[in-house]
Amino acid sequence: MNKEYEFKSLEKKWQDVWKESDLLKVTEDKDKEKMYILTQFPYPSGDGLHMGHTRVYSIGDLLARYYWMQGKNVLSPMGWDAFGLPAENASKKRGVAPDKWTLANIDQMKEQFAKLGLVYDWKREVTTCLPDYYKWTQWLFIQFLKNDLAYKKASKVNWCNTCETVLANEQVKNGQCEYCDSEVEKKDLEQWFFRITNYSDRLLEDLDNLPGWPDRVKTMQANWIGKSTGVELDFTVKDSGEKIRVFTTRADTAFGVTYLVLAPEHPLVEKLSKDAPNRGEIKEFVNDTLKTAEFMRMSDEMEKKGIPLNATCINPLTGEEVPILIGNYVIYEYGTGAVMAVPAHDQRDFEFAKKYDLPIKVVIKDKDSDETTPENMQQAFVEKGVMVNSGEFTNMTSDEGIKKIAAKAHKEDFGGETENFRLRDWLISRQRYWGAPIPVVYCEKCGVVPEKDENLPVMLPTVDKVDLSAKGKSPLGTCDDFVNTTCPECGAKAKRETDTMDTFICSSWYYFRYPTGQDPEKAIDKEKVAYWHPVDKYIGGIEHAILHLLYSRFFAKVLKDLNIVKDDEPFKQLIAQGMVNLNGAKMSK
Amino acid sequence: MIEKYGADTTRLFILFAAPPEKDIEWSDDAVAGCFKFLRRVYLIFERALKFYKKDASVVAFEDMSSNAKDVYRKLHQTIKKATDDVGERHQFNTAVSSFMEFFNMFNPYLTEIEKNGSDGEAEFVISESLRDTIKMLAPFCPHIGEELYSNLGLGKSVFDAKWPEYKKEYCVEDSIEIPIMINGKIRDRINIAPDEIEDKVKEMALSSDKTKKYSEGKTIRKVIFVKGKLVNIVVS
Repeated sequence: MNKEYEFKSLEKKWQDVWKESDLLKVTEDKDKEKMYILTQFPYPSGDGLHMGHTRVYSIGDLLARYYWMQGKNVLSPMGWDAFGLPAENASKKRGVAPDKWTLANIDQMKEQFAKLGLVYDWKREVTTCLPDYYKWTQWLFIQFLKNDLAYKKASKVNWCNTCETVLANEQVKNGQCEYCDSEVEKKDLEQWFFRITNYSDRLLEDLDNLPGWPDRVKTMQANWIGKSTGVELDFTVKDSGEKIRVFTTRADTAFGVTYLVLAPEHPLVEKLSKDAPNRGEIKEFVNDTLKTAEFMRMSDEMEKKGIPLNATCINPLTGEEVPILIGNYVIYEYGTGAVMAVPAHDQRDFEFAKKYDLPIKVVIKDKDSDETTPENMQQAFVEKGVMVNSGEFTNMTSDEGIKKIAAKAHKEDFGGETENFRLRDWLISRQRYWGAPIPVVYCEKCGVVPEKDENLPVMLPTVDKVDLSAKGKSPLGTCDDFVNTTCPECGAKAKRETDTMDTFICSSWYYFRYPTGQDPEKAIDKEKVAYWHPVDKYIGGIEHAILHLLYSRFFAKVLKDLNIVKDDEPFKQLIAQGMVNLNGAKMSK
Repeated sequence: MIEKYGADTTRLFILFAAPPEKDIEWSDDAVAGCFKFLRRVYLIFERALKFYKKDASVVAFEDMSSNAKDVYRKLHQTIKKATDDVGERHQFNTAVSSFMEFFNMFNPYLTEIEKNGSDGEAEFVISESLRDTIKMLAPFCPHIGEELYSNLGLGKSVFDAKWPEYKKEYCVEDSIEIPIMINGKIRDRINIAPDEIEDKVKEMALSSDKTKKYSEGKTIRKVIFVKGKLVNIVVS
């Protein structure tokens, strides 16, 4: 052997050998114990591999080779999360076509992988931007649509002016766009959604079946799903009879309600302010509030502001008349968009009541002491205790009172016990070019019609056919050849949907595609997937704790319900790796 | 990075710098350290190869000389540690430390053999050591792993080989060193059998000259023994 460690020639030599070898090329072998090692597939950017990539793939390669030497049947595949904005921006800036740009980057990164000595089963390679993959992404969308898990509705959505597209709630971080850090605005648009909220309970409960996941990731998901059990109560607007439904986890304090607060977006706001003398101020208040990012409105640091609506409503339990206000801290998307205010027993309400000189009424006391008076209160008494001044519920404990009040509300039809979730449906349409087209056709006669299976994929037109800088509109809408089509049902002239899918859809099912191989006949091979799944070790960054990992769990559950796969939890163990820093900052190369 | 030190050094640095879940702070010195270690392994291997026998006859553990026993025991301890760290705990950094420790012990042994000549025992211990350490290093640093393995005449790829197995009984130390502390300060160290009974260890600790010196004129209030770790004597 050579006397000196000449790593350059030595490494080159073995890399050439591995290129031709059968190492880590596998099939389903029922006699061997399987081991599915998966590293999160990269976005093929023009910058190539950074040190974070090097770390995650070094860990994956080590584990794959280790378990291989332990005699396991090791599946360790690789692919490319290849749709997304950078390719589109490169095209705008430098005129290079997104597909060419992306595929060139993939070649470059593959070479870098080889130079690191990483070995993968490349015959299972997945590239989400190629028609042989997005055909199946579209097919899955249609399964969602047919099973009422995809729907279109007009709503206030997160809009990024810089990226010129809508964003899912999960893509808004601290009120800023996850991709470009611009402030996110609210815009009224008709958009496609996935009904992830149908799965709120299962997504939450099944976290308990994941002992191989780090606790902090499970906690983040649980908090994002945000389940709370409470009681809904209907307050009736005086003179108009309209009901305002509120959600509370503390129904035992309902006798202490001294005012009601609506979110500025609440549909009743406009109606109730129509004849108000302070109509102009109300309008201004609403507009100002809606410009503020939601996370700011919910944060403790934000000054709580309100404005009276010149309307009152009736407390269903006491029959008392209480004023209605609008408040900047009430979010329409959460709960019912209206809250009952109990200043004696909620600190936020207490501060608000003091500021606007609203009444305070004590209805809970500590079980071991006498009840206090509003004048003696320096802050709200927020603990549970014994109910006072609460009619037939007086002297009950808080927990008893909550149950009894819920029962009464249910019996007398003004509310009842309910569960509330923070999780919203997943907004999946994007006004972008470089994504999988949503495979839907609009026909004047037949309405919204999914494209037929045999017509998939709905091909993305080449970039020279579209105008990428169509302000605030989908670029695909500028390509007549794409838009104009015929109805798959009746054959009449029809128009295609011009939005593309959130790229997180592409990455929500790729781990099913690897075991399937590059099968041109089906998206997912149920038996092969059953052999390899679940993924035994999933290696990736903690930044995906909510977005990718929650969406993937949702997909797995839907696909199990649709009898396309057998397991509804895709990842048995998560290895969430830390960052590589240089002088305390994230390192690029 | 890869250009300067190679892929194996890059991989080793990244796996050695911290457990996977922790952030890594890049350090040129640490990278250079990893390169140095791989080079050291390479050069030690090259020296040791002349004593390597593919079919070295087995020497029973209990018949080994003390030096050979130490190396052979360390080898099995290293296999145990690496198997546990990589496959169970996924703490790759401590597995790398155990490789480094092994070579720290192996190198002087090899020097000794080079000086005094080899025999059946040395051939067995060296052959086992080379084969098993290279197998363990290979998933971390596959290029150097393949290269060194190809010199052992055992097949064309180290990845066709099975990960080594350890024998529990070879991992047990004849004796371990534990500190004697007086009021929380280390004053002496003693060697004891790993499973030595508590009373015997306390007796040894109390009869140490250093203990006598530091407790002179004071009353011994309490003697605390933490098995396999330490003895603490509280005096006042």
